[in-house]
Amino acid sequence: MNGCAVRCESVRKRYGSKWALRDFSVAIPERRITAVLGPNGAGKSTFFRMLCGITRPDAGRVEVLGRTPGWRTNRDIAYLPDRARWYGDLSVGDSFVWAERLLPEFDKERAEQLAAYMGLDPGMKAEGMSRGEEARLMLVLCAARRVPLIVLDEPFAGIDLISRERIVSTLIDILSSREQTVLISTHEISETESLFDYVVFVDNGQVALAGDAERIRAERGSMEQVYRQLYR
Amino acid sequence: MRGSFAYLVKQDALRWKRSGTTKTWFWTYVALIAIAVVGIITVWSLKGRFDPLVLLFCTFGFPYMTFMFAYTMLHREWKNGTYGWWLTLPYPRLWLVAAKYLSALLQVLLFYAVCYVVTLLLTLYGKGLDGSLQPDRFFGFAKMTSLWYGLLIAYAPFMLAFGLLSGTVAQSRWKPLMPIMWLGFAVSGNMVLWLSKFWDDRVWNRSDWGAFVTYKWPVWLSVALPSTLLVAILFVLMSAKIVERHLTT
Amino acid sequence: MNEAFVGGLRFTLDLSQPLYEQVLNQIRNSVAKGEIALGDKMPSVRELAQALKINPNTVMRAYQELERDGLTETRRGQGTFITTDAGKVESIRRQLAEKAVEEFLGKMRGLGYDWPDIERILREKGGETA
Repeated sequence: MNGCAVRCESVRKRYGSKWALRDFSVAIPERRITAVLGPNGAGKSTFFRMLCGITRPDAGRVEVLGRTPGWRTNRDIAYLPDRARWYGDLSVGDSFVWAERLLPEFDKERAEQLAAYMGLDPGMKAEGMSRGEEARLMLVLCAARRVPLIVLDEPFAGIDLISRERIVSTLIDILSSREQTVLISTHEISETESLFDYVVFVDNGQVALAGDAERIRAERGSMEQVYRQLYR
Repeated sequence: MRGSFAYLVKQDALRWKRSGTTKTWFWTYVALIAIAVVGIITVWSLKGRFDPLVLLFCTFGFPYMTFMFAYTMLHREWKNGTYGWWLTLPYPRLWLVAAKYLSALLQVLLFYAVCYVVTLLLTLYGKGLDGSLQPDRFFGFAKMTSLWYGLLIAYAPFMLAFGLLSGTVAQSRWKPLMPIMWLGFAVSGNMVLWLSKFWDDRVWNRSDWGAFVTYKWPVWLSVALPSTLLVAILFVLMSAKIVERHLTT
Repeated sequence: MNEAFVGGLRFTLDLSQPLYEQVLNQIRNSVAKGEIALGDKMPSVRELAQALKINPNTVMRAYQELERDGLTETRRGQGTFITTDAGKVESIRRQLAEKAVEEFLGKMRGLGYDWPDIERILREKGGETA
């Protein structure tokens, strides 16, 4: 049986008067792809931020790769922040130099391959890119790192159909090597659910349902159907 | 990773690198301002009314600019939506903050150096034009300018650190303290300038452009300036702490 | 619904049912129908996963099951191949056929038909398709 890449026990987090996470407990299997699903404001991004040490829980325990979240653990995590933008003055090529110098285990050759596959022009500066191109670039920066954990917060947001398919294809490649744990959140459920190993449905700061995707399918139907059942 | 800190410093310095079109605009503005300044000085000189002290008065805004420069350097990560990348870099928070600080410091020092040289050159030009350029006068003025810029440079680390700290406070749960930070900003910007008594009438002779009477370096300044350096270090450390634990992201 | 045609195999996947079973059954079907011949090379796990846009793990489970059944064999360094044993394929065909009949009979009985009626309908229909 596999170990756990991420473990949360009764985590709570409040912003002002709003509870982003309340009694949030989950165990994410390693070397699998796990999808975290739920409506906006459910707490998905807060959860991801905790894994990367940007946010700290008010109560409860968070464990990532067996350690406490923080900048030290971030060596082993490739994180795509939600609603992130990229440094406008950097071109695709510059960005790869940036990643090479600052992000451990960045594979520049792989990044260049992926960039070509995603249709990114190496000389183009981020400020001149469309949102979709910028999103693809940021994804490549994460996908080209040989780290144990890849966390992608809404990697498909703002991306056109063809590019989405290419991202799916890239994820399949990553999963084929079975060395990395992937954690993603997405709203494009019907397009991507055939990828999921493990699924966590989040509602109002808590885990509404979590389990093996195939088992949930046998018991309750497709992820999309389950989503509708849970969030009606 | 080797060289990461140096790279971080470099990155923030080159953030002002402009793309093709805005680069042209930037240098166009610089050229226009240069022409305007030289033009004005020419007119004044020919009328015999160019007092190079004006060039030194222009520097009164520098401490404010310095503060804002550091503040912006931090604020920019949030404004541009890149703070997620910055905060998750696998390096100590002190590195992240110090890299921005160092980058700002280097750029500010460069800026001061350029202004210093330009001041002297414009004085040479202006006074040469109206015929009152004499070596001892010029060197008197140069000495004064050097002392003044020395003060500005000595004060810059503090203003930078203060700006950096304010930038982090603005993104933290200490945000309600911002009005006090801004008040501090307003007061400290000109503090050294006035308290140093540099612009006292007994220090220099206004009617005689280079006649530097005497500047008695106030004792308290010898204590105060190094103190501001210590406070600057403290502020940088505090900024790192805030980034580590108190941000409201 | 994920549909794909890869390496001679046709797939239609329904996301509301476990995918692994569907992949497995559809491969078995294809083999039984002869859509992929004895000894033919199967697409690699990665290829099939890419074509179907599903998790390679799912494909891997199906392949492991096929291997256990003896329907496929993995040759080190070369990939996965359909067995050359015609008997195995024949037995799968038979299994699928029996299953189809069982389902059919189950449905007919559910509609209330007994054996004489079923036989009669079969003759009529059988005659038509002959």
